Amino acid sequence: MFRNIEPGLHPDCPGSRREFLWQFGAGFGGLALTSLLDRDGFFTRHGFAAETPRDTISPLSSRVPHFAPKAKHVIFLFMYGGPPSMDTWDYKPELQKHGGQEIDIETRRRKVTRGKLFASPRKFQQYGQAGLWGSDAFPHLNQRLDELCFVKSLYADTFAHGSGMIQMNTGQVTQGYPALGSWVGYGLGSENENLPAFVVMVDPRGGPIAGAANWSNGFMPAAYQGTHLRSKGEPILDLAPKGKTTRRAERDLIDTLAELNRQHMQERPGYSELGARIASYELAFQLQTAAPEALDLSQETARTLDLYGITGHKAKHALSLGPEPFGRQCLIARRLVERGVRFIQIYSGGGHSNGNWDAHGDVDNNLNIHAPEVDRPIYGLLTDLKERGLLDETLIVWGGEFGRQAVSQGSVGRDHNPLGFLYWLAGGGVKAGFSHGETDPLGHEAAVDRHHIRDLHATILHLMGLDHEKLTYFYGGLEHKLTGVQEANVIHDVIA
Amino acid sequence: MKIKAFIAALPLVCLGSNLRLETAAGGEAFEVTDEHRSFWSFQPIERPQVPDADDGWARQPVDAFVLRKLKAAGLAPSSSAKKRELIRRLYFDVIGLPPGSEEVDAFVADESPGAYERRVDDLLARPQYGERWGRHWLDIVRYAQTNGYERDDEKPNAWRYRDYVIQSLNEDKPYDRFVLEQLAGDELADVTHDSIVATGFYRLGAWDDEPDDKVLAVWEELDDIVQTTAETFLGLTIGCARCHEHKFDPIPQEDYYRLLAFFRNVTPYGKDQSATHWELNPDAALTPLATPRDVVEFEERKARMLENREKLKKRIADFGDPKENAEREKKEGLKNELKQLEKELKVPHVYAFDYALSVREAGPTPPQTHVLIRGSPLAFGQEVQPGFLGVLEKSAPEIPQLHGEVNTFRTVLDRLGVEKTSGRRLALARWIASKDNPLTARVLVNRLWHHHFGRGLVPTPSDFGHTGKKPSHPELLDWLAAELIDGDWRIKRMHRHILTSNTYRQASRATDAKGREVDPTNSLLWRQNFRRLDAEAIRDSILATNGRLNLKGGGRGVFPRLAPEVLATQSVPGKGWGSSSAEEQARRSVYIFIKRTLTVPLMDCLDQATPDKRQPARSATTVAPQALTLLNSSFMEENATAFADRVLREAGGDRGKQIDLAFRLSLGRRALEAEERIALGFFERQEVELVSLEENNAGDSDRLALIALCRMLLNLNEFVYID
Repeated sequence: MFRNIEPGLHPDCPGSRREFLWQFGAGFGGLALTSLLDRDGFFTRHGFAAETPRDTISPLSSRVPHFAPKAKHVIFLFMYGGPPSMDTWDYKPELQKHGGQEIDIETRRRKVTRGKLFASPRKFQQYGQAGLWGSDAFPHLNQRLDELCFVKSLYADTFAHGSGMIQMNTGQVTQGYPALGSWVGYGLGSENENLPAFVVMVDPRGGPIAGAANWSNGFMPAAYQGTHLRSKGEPILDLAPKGKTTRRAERDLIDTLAELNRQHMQERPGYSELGARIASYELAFQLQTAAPEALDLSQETARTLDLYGITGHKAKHALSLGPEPFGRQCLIARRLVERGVRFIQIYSGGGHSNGNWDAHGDVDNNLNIHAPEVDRPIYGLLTDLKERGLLDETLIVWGGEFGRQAVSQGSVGRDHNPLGFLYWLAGGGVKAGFSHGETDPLGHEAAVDRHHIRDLHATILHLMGLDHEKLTYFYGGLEHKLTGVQEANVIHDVIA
Repeated sequence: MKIKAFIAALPLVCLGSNLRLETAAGGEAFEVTDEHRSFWSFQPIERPQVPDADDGWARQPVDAFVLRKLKAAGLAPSSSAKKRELIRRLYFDVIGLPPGSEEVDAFVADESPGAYERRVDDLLARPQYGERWGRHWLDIVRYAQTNGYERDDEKPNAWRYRDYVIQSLNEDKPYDRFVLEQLAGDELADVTHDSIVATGFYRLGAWDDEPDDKVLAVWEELDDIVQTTAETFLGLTIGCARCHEHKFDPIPQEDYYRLLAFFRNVTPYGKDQSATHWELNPDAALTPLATPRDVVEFEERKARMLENREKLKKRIADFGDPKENAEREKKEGLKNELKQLEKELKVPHVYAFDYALSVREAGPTPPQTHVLIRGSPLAFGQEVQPGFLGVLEKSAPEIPQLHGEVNTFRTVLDRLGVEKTSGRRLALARWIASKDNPLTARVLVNRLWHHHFGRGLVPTPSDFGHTGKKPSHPELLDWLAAELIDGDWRIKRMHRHILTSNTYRQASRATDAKGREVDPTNSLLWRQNFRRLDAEAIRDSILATNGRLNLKGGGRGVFPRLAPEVLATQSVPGKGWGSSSAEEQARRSVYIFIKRTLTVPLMDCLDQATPDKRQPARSATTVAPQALTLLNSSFMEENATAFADRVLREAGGDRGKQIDLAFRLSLGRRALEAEERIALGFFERQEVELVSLEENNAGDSDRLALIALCRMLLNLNEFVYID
């Protein structure tokens, strides 16, 4: 980071630049260097996650969790559109037996209609030592089922994409609350001053429904918003100057800017925000190399690229992108984890209908489009993290905004279903090769060990060392929590 | 206060219907007592004596109050800010734009008595004042121009509300009238187009057009109105009482529903379009802004259309069953014409006129209002009548008989079939906009103070309850509130009180060791606070510096060009984002179109208000992405280039002159000698470096270096901080 300060044109020596960063610092990490030293144990640790409001000058300075964390990072693989549970890993023999049979079933909120049971068109078998069931939609990932920890009995509150996306990301069905990644950034700060604490990567086909509301900081300061990283083109918005200039000229500009700012500051003692702002320019400049470096896959081996499906795996379906784009994003996620990024969210699926997992028309076909896009990449990610010893400290989260119904829509499609659906977790302190909770025998509604998704949120925070009851933010007369005012419980059964 | 233990465990209903089987929780009734009423903000406003100004420093009553507390703490006020800084501060505070360097020089040179006061008056009279302060208001009332959620459709003509706010401030509309218009502009005896537009207040919130639970969604909409009203005008956070007795303030659950009853008759924003999907109901959320002449024309047009329809029907019938092809085609043509006509006749007539996004009611008789047990819309408790918060008011509201005196516009509305209303909102509005309401005036003067000092006398501007902070200067707050009321609720007068005070004019330098020690957070105001400009002021200043700023006001709004990468985060990239000409894009930031699911990165990273929530105060964060945006965005590239071209045009090729002009334009002052030296060195190094970029020896490295200098100046701390 600052240990290798690039030489510039400015007569000011790099030494004073470094000295300055010792005093101040405002990168993505707020008081950047402070946090660096803090990490190295230089400072006594006073920080506590539940202090509010956070100092806005260093909103992302590194903070100490409530208790020892199991996971330091989260990679949230968001299958936007709502993947079906009963066609992936929630094997339901009863459903398979009674396909075609008519049944009265709740298909939309409080609306019971006559539907036709739709047996999964997929083939299932058991895998690994734990013998967990998997459908043929994910042939690669199934090889790793002994690493996964399923929660098969989740439910949420809404049948619609808009409010469903917002609830899965912010805990509330109404728009305007901070995203899970924002809460993590708020609670723990950034580990890496050169990179954001909360990173979002969207699908090449487009963003998810409700766009920016999904990675919004809500009523928190803007610094907690998810930052978009792109695997192709400019990695972060406005990372490089648009006009004609050179790296050395930019170095000089930053240095000269700092010199003028220091004179201005000298006359205004006691305002640390001025120093923080000077440091933020230095860090922005560092970021111009740090971000592309984090995203640069050219140093990765051929084996790694193959492992993630980035090379050598073509799309078999005309509408499928193949594993390359998502694989690239997964590999970047690993590189971000290595560089201390806290919370990485990758969206599979973008836009509308078959551009994502929203399989209204033909669930088999939809899986043929999307499952191969993520199957190999996630297999690669799990394998790679494990080999590098990073899986233990990295929590992988897989799922969508809801699941899909046991009855058919049209003849071979499935409609949205928040009543019962699955998520799986891996690494980061959860049991491996384990399954918790059950839906009813048809896979339609959570039945055994039911968990509202706020329990999932509480669990993710818990694994990060944060107590969802204590992580609060004061706004509008209330100490807000990610899990809201209803009771939420950590799903202790899944914790190793 | 009695807080029942079970309250903490009660769930909010907003999380779905899994509560539907739960039964009502029992519990003793919560009673508001005189002890509750003794809380400071619930006390009547009594004009305090202005302390004796035994010191030459106190120029205004405001100063006397501040000085008394400073002295008691053994502190002294700071000296006045330098004139250059003061004038710049004044411009930003009042109009949100920097002064031109001539204006600065003229002020510095003006030694005449009242020179400063004249600037105050001049600025308050400019149209840019309303744009600056209107934006502050929009933050509080969750102003946005779309609904949010999946479709994020535009709220038709929401911008009229924004323009109404700006115009109201500019004409110094009395604040009580401003309140009356927003809450009950349609129920006023002198209802006007403007007062209808004002009621757009009700329709600005995020709105889900595909709610999972349609029954609940209607109550969500009402809740948004109740909470926004209570926070905006009364500074009370009341949401807790939706499901149970308020945990912190003496607001029983019944009081929430009594307050809600004033709004119970407000028509929901949407109507069914399909089993799951709603759309805007034009006959319930829009009001025609028609003149009597419009109505006559409309009725004539409609009569003609109906007549035409009959004629067409007859002609079609007359054709019978034609054998000839040509005849058949003619008949088909007529049928298509009829179809088109029918379609036009079906268009809600509100679209035949200019119209406002507005409140509407479904007739003079509202449905009953019940307490919802635990907030569940399926668990009706006791019936309640509209009523004020018990802790503030013991008497019951008198619902006025409306439409006794009918003015011209009301006649127009009647003729167009706009339903009569209940009069309930007017009763509430009158109570809020009353000089006897202890909160209304206090909350407003505190908001003014908040924006002039960066922090209110009550540091929580929308929370004057128990979770809020107590006032640092309670008597000053009350004096200001009394002044507002006694001064016919005119806001500009209040600005003058504050702006012409010595308290406001103090330097912001935190050099007084004693002050730093005794009062490090400056709550006693021994200096002015040091403040960063907000997102709008930064963007507007950049445009003002290069002279491109377009001061055109009003209208639907501006769509700044967004990078494709930003649009790619939408599920349909580019949807709902228009395009505006370069000239339009150079308009003030308050006119940027506000779309809930797509925000402008430049504004976002500089902490603009979130469009989803009421935001009484903004933060000023400092993080690296701001630096990236201010250094590297297309907006900066374009505007730094325009800045450089202006300098080149006006100062010519001489480096010294360029530096002088560039500093004056961006900072309102000349470069210091040391700065000039630094800038010259910068030019030299940049030129040498940038020569390598010249294509075909274009010889433009000197221009590139000037662009770099300009870009750098726009990034200075001095550029984005007041003082």
